[in-house]
This record gives sequence, C-alpha cells and structure tokens, in this order.
Amino acid sequence: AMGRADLWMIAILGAVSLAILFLLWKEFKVYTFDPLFAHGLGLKTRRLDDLLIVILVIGIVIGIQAVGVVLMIALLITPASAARQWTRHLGPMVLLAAFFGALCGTAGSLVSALGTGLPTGPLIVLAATIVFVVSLVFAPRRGLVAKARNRQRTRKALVSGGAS
Amino acid sequence: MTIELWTLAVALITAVTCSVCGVFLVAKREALVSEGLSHAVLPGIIVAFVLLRDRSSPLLILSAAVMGLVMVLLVQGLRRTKLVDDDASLGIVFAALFSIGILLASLELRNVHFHAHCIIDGNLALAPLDAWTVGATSLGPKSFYIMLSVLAVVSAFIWVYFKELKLMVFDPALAQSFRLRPGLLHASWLGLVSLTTVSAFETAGSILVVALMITPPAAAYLLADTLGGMLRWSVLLSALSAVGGFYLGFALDIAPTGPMSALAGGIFLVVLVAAPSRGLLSRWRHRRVQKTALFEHVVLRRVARGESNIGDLCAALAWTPAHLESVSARLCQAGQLNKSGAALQLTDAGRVRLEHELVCP
Repeated sequence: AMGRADLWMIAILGAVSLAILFLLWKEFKVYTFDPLFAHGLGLKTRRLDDLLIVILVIGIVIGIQAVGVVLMIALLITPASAARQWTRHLGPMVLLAAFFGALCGTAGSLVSALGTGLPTGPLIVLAATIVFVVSLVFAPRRGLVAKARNRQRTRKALVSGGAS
Repeated sequence: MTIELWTLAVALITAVTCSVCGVFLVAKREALVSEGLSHAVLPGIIVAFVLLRDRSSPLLILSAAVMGLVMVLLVQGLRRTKLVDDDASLGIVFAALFSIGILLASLELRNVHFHAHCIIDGNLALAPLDAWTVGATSLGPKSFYIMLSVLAVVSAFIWVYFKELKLMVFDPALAQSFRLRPGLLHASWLGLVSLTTVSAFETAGSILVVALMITPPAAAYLLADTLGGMLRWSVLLSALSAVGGFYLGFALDIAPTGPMSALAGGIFLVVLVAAPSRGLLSRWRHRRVQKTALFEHVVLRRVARGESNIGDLCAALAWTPAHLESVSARLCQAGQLNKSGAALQLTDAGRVRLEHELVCP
C-alpha cells in the first residue's frame, strides 16, 4: 500500500543516505574494519558510529514500508551476505549488495503483481534467500563447491607428494 | 480456584518457564535466538493447521517446535561453514522461514480469521475459559497444564545436564575437548527453548515471550556471580513481574501481558542503575573513590620527594589551587600530611600509607 508520495519520500531519504555514505566513504571504511586504528588517526569514531546508525535507521524506515518489520532484517542482512561471497573489497561488495537488493525487489514485486495474490514482502525475502544460497554454494574461492574442490586438490597433492 | 487465580497461575508459570530458558541464552550471549525462534516456528504452525484443521491440537505445538529445531540446525550448519557471522546467519534463516510461513498462510488460510493482536499480545485473559474437563469436573485451564509440563521437562533437562550446559555456555572449546558434544547439547537445548516459545505463544504472544525470556535473565545477569545464582534471581524477578503485572493490568482493566513485560523492563532499569557491584551507580561511586585515592597518592608522593611548596606543586601538576587545597585538606584531616604556611610535610601515617600503596622507583 504505497502511493506516489511514499515513492518520493523513499527516493529522497535514500538519496540522502547514499550521499552521506559517498561523502564519508573512506572514514566509514577504516572505521568498520579497524575502529581502534580510526580512533588513532584522530577520526571522531563516536560521531561516525552515530552517523552510520542514522543511515541504518533511514534504511529501516524505508524498508518497513516495503516489506514490514520482521522481514526488514532479511533485507538488511541477506543481500549483503550474498555479496560478500563474490568479492574481497568493500566497494564491489556494496555495489553488488545493491544490485542483489534491486534484483530481488523487482522479482518479488513482479511475481506478486502477476495476479497470484501472494504478499510482496515474503516473496522479496525468499528471492534474496535464493540468491544467498546460490552465492554460498557456487561463488568462486569462498563458495562451498570451490572450497571442497580446493580441499580435494590439496589432499591429492599431499598424497602424491608422499608417494614420490 | 477462581478464574482470576487460574489466570494468575498461568501467567506466573509462563513467565518463570521463559525466564529459566532465557538465563542460558543471555549468559551465552545469543538472546536474539528467542526472537528468531518465535518467528521461525510460523511455517510449522501453518503446516500442522492445514493438515489437521484443528486449532487446539497439541500437534500444532509439536510441529512448531520441530520447525524451531530446523531453524537451529540450519543456523548451526551455516555457522559451521565459517562464511557467515552468527548474527547474520540467524537473521537470514529466521526471516526466510518466516516468509515461507506467511506465503503458506496466504495460500492456504485465506478464509481463516487471523488476529494480529492475538499473535502479538496473546490472550492470557481467555486462557482459563479453555478448561480441561474430566467427566463433569473442571481441572483448570489446559494452558496451565501445558506450561506446567513444559516447565517440568525444562527443569529436568537443566537438573540432569547442569554441568554440561554450564560448560557449553562459558567454554564450548573445553566442552568439545571433554567430548561432551556441545553442538548436540546446544541443539537439543534450543529445541526445548523452541518448545517453550511455542507453548508460551498462546498465553503471552510472540513479542512478549521474547521480553519474558530476555529481560529478567538480563537483570539477573547484573545481580548474580554464578549461573545458579542467575537462575534463582531470574525466577524471582520474573515471578515478581508476572504477579505485579497481573494485578497492574487488573487495576487498569487491560490485558495483563503488557503490564507484565513493562514491569519486567522497569525492574531491569532499576537493577541496571542500582545493582550492588555492576550497577551504574556503584560503578560511578567506585570510579570516584579510585580517582580520589589516586589524587591523594600523587600529592603524598610529590611531598615525599621534597616538593613541599604548594605553589610549585600546583604548577608541576597543572592543578588549580582549589583542587590541590581540597586534596591536601583531606590528607591533613586524615593525619597523613602537615601544613605549615605554604609548605606541606609528610607525617608518619602518610609515610606508612605510601609504603603500602604501589611502589615505583
């Protein structure tokens, strides 16, 4: 149940939080990975933490409109966890998480709008979960398949090394 | 027993059972598992309801509890890949299960009346109306007996496995090296927590189950030094909030579950501020005592080194004269320092104190 006014509200709030994220990118990066180091550099970590929470709250307020209170948690965590599987850098991870989020949002809304009468929120979350499971299993290097193959190769190398 | 007393009994036993479960969750720092469980069980309830078409069947509780166990196993499996954080895996799994539950409900239960507030608040006040009757005599509400048997099972489990649970909570690695299989124990324990959550659902509602599970144990955590002590405090505080909340609700003429958890929250706040050794007040007092002792020590030490002039001391320590005056006045009063004009002098008592306090070259 969202109207045109809601859409504008979501767009503006989203733009504000994206702008904050973009402007303070370096600071957020060093703060998330090494808060002590950030503090040592003279950054106001307390202020950064507050600001990060503000962005988070904006995101949650927007998301509650779209999927509801409980499933909001999934929208925060699942696309980001899926993105983590594919990359080792923060920038690509953020972009990928955004892409996954957009993909699942579109897919969920489409299926719901096709006249099935199914609720949108749970469909979006299920789509995100599917993306996550695929990423968990098939991602290069960190994926479960890649890890198993890697282990097998190591074992083989060990065995043949012992024989020679 | 009157209806009022039966309602109170159900509230009391629900609160106590939840808080006993919560003790181990809070001590193991996984309190949010209760929140996850209370949502992840939904598909279990829906599936059982669709199959049985009977809202009061005990199989509903059982199926929901099994769903809770499934969530626990999935979370543990995800954790074991070491690819996803504990919190994140809980969030991913329970939200996915909950959305499956909602989808199932919207597919199958379009014509069934769903009361949102029934899920959030529960219907404690209606509990006594669903009585268990044998022949013509009523033996009291069914939910009382359900919660009583859950409490019995949970207490028995804790009683038998207390040592193992303790080790699992505080040092899982050691438990593993003793071959106590902490993973298996953890899963079965959370299975019981899931059973408790689902059973308490009916009387307390999903959000309040979480409140009852976390708040009294969190307060007990600040009061007790041992796991046993934490259990005792937690039972006491939850019983207090159940009884108090019940009468509060009675007086305000509203459903008793809200006041119950509000009271539990109030008790937690009081404990947070006033707990004997870990409360905010006592920590603040402790810090002040330490600060005073440090100031006095610094002055004694300087005077012992021969820096006896008050003006020089102020300059060397970068203190205001008023601050130095208050510290030295306290020391003079304690007989550890003598003041003659602008000069300070160490007494024997002051020398003894310096020798007792930390020695540095």
